[in-house]
Amino acid sequence: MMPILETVDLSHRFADGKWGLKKINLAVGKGQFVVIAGANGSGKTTLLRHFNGLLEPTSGQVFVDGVRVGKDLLRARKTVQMVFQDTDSQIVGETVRDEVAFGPENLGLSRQEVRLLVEQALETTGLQALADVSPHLLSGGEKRRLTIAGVLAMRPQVLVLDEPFSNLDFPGTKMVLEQLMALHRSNMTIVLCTHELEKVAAHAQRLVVLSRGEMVADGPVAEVIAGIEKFGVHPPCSLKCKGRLEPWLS
Amino acid sequence: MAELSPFGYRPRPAWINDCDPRIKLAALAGLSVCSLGAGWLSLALVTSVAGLLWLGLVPSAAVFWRHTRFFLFLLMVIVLVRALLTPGQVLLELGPLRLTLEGLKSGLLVAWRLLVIVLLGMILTASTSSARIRSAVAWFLKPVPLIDERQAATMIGLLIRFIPVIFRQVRETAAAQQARAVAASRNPLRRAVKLVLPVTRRIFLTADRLVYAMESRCFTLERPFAPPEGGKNDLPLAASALILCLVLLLV
Amino acid sequence: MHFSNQLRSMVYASLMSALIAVGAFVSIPIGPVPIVMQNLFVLLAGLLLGGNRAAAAVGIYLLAGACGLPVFAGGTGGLGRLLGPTGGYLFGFLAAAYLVGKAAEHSRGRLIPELMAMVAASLIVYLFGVPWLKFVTGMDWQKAVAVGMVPFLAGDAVKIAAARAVAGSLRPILSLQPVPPREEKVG
Repeated sequence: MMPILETVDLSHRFADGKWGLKKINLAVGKGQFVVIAGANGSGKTTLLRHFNGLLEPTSGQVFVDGVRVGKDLLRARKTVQMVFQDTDSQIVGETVRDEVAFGPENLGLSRQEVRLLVEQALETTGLQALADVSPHLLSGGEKRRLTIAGVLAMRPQVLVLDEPFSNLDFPGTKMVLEQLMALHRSNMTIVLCTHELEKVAAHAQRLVVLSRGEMVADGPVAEVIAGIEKFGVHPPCSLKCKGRLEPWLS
Repeated sequence: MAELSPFGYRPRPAWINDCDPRIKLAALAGLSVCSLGAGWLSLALVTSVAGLLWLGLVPSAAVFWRHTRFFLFLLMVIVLVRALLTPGQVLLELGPLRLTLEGLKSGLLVAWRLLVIVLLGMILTASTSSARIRSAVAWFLKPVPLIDERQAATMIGLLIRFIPVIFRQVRETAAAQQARAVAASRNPLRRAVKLVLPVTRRIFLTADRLVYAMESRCFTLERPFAPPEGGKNDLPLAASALILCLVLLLV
Repeated sequence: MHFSNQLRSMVYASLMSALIAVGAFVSIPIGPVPIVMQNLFVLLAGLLLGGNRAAAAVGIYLLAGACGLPVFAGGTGGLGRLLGPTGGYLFGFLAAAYLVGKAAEHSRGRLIPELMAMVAASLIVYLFGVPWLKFVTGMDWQKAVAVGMVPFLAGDAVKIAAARAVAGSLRPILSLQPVPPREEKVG
């Protein structure tokens, strides 16, 4: 089966001459839940930003659903939607509903279509009751779910999340993780990057490890996770204490 | 954030709520301009109409007081300054200060005119969601050359959205500075730079991230702006605003 | 292929506009008159964004405020705030931002022209503000200047120096040129 997302020898060099990514070869199949782990500065965010053409590769290529990203940017962005780390600097709308409608409106859909997509995304994320609230009044977990709703409304096939659990308290983390699990069950492809494996390790199928811009490990979570400490990523506690992975959601 | 959007639009079952925002804006502008030259009688009339509208919308005079007290203070200053500086029949003498009847009258009149304008503005704000105000502004900007109304509307939207975010960032920065005793420095220049530099740097970082986020969600200026919708009370509103304008001009 | 410069300019100007709005609440208490930072942000908008974008930042702030959106300090009030006793200063900001921005575009970071432009811009704010204050309050010129200008001059000098210092250290990391965006060192 053709991977929905693929990078071939992807390298990226920053304006200051440093290499951010070196020869990344990664193929993600439809419906997979992939976790990309790595210490700060390992190149996770830089890699994600190539997935829908926010950054251009210095060399190498990125394919979304078989088509090179640079060739059809709009198509790549419709297919791969991204939730960024900092919630406050990605929420554009003045109300929850406006925010969710932002993406579909950019796609030039009719008002009825937009309304329908918004309602569905709000329902999926359980935010209907907050539809007319101003985003800055939401809790951390609600804001995160709002950012997810905003991209779900664009009906992507791949959901990419950058550190979705940062700055979330326990209920917030739980809410977001449950949301992701539900999306995964409904066959959404999920690529999530984090430096805290604790919360997602047991729920994902595949673990990719980045270190200093290079892909240093790739495989089933249970296999890769054993040696992960040497790449600057803290292995989940359950693995350390009990010798096996335990789901974070009980 | 309490200070900046103190009360705002909430869907309230009020007569004026679903009127066309364009008519509301035009009425506000017309009435404001006409009030600038208005006399006592017509001001009294407009104030009572506006006051009733306000109470029908936000059944509280206290809310009005709370959100305009800074401005009301300025108005009080106007009354006082005018009362003391205008020559005329002396009402009260306190040392070198002379409070005159003519001064008091002219001060009150000027202050009242401004008060009416502020009251009308508050009614608009309380009865119209910012998205609708924005769409009306965009509509009015359409024929204006050199201004892209879609761009202006997007910018107003971002402004409204990011005021609370930036307010919080600024407060956090100020608190952090306080904790590090920057305020103890007596050099005002140093203090200003220490406060403004991190705040501004954060704004541009936020802006960069926002550009990514908007780009990622396929932002385009061609996005449809919901045209402002009218309501059943549009005509009565327009008519009464027109009548009040005439009263303000003629009486 | 992406990052249209237009979007970047627009977002920078919008967020600077929000910073100017918030700036009315940011002050450093020195002596009897606290130094309010709002006009420092106006100068900074000019230095960092250039004339047109800086004017857009202030213009959007005024436009939103005039139309009753809650962006003005001390509550709302819409048009009344622009017509009120301090309204002249707000209009002055528009001219000041544009002037400083245009000067910054031409001075290529040289100190003296930028300082001169900021001094001129600060005076222009009073050129709009003081006559309007005089007109609304009915004060004579002497009093209007004494109340509406003199107390703020020392603060203005501090703000001009601060604006230049802040712009100096932010400029290297800002770019409105169509180059690939800076990398954030996260993740």
